[in-house]
Amino acid sequence: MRSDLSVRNLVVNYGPVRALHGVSFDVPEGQIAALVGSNGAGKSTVLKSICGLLKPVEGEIRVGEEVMKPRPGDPLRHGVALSPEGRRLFGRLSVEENLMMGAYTVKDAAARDDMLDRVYGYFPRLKERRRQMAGSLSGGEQQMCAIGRALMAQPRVLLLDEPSLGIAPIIVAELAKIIEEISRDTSMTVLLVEQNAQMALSIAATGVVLETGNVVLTGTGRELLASPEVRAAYLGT
Amino acid sequence: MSMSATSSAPAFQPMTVVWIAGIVLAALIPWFTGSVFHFHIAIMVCISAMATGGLAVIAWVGQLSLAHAAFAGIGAYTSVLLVTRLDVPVLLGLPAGALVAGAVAFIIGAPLLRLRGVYFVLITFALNELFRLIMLDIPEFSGGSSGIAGIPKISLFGVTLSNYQSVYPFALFCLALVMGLLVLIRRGQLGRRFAAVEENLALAESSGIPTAKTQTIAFTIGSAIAGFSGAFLAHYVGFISPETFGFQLSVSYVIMLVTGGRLALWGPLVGALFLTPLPEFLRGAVEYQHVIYGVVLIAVLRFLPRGLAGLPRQLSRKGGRG
Repeated sequence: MRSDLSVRNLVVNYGPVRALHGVSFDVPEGQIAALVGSNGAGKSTVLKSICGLLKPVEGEIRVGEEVMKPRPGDPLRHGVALSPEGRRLFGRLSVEENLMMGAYTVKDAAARDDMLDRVYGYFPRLKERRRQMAGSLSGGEQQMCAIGRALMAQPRVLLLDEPSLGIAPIIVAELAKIIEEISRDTSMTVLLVEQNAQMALSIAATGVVLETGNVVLTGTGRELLASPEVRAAYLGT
Repeated sequence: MSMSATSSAPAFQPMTVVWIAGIVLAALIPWFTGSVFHFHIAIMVCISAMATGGLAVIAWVGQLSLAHAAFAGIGAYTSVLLVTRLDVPVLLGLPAGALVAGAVAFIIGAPLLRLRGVYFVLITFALNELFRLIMLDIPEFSGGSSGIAGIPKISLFGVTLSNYQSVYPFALFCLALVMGLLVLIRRGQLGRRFAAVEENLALAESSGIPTAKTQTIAFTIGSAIAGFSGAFLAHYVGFISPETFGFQLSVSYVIMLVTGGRLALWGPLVGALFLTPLPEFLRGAVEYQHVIYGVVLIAVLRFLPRGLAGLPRQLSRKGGRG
């Protein structure tokens, strides 16, 4: 299977501290991959590197055949969109304005409107609240808005950073269903970065477990969910 | 949908109607009283409101320029020199002033706007002083410290606006143009870009918005408006000197903007409407203008963080609670 996003032997330092010791994994085209691990495992470092915000000491990141330059904006041009951790939105802009900001790089107005309709299709609640200030939404709605904004860029690779963080379990289940639906309908490649291993692995075709800057396990989502190590370390059973 | 009422912004909210009615009434005062003094103050309000409107555009991308008076000065000197030395009609001198001020802002904007927050404020403060000192140093153009007097009045198609009553409608017309431009920017794609850059630069950058270019556009438009207002001031008052466009004028514009409401569309208009007449009507208090401005600024920052333009909303919220 072709891989859409491929991380090869990534080594990243924060000053004298090595955060990633040669991380490699592939996200197959059109599938959901989950990158799980506890606090400080290096999940965010991997994501920041993919977004071009960190300059790796070694290794490279490919989107399709292209090697990304470690510059913010370059991955976006190659179709990588991030829904950032902590649901960062333009709080004083309306929901719809936030979504339209996500489509800033899409020049075709018809394609933009079409995408907006689809985002509203996935998240009807955003449509209800389209004129409301994004900062006044509930946590779950803000997360929907952040995912919707990333979708508006019509990416080939969608990066989701901790979408379940600080959100009620019932909304987490709803989000998981929608993420699956989006990936299926649009055959978009999704990299889901999560501490909530249960949720992430249950919808992921591929799972990658990160521990102190190393990949310790890979497999299908189902395999990892069943593996005794994962169950002991992340699921508390 | 009950929560959405406060943030939605349809074209005509009742509040907007009240604002417009209030501003139109205020604009009519000189015609009711017929007082020349009132006409003069009303014209000064229009000029200040235009300049403050320009400053607002720059504030929309999150920057505060203390060089705003210098750009008004660039516009003023451009127009005055074109009119007095090259016999250009005043009606062309005014936009030429805006154009030159905008061009200067565009050129120096790119390196300057890499700085944000207090550093940008400091560098623009230094620029305003630099402008004043340079102008004092080239008396053959600026008239030096004695300035340029006897500047031709504004004339429209051969008709000179020689008295206050005839300048005022034209000042209102120019102010309406500037406010119209502000509304257009604010409601359009550019306004959303400005707001995104103002609120979260990093997030805007990562959404693919060219943040540096966006800030330069705002700085250029805002400074061009300042240039226009400066040129208008020069032809209305009939005298300019480098000291006219000193640092204190920049500070006055900042205080008007903050008092009116830094991010409110009508903030510049409300701020100028409130603060321009204030020292004039407190008889004999003109020399204490900056003291009065300082006190007003402190009061506004303490009690009205959204400025006067945010007062009705603040009142209605209090009422709702009580």
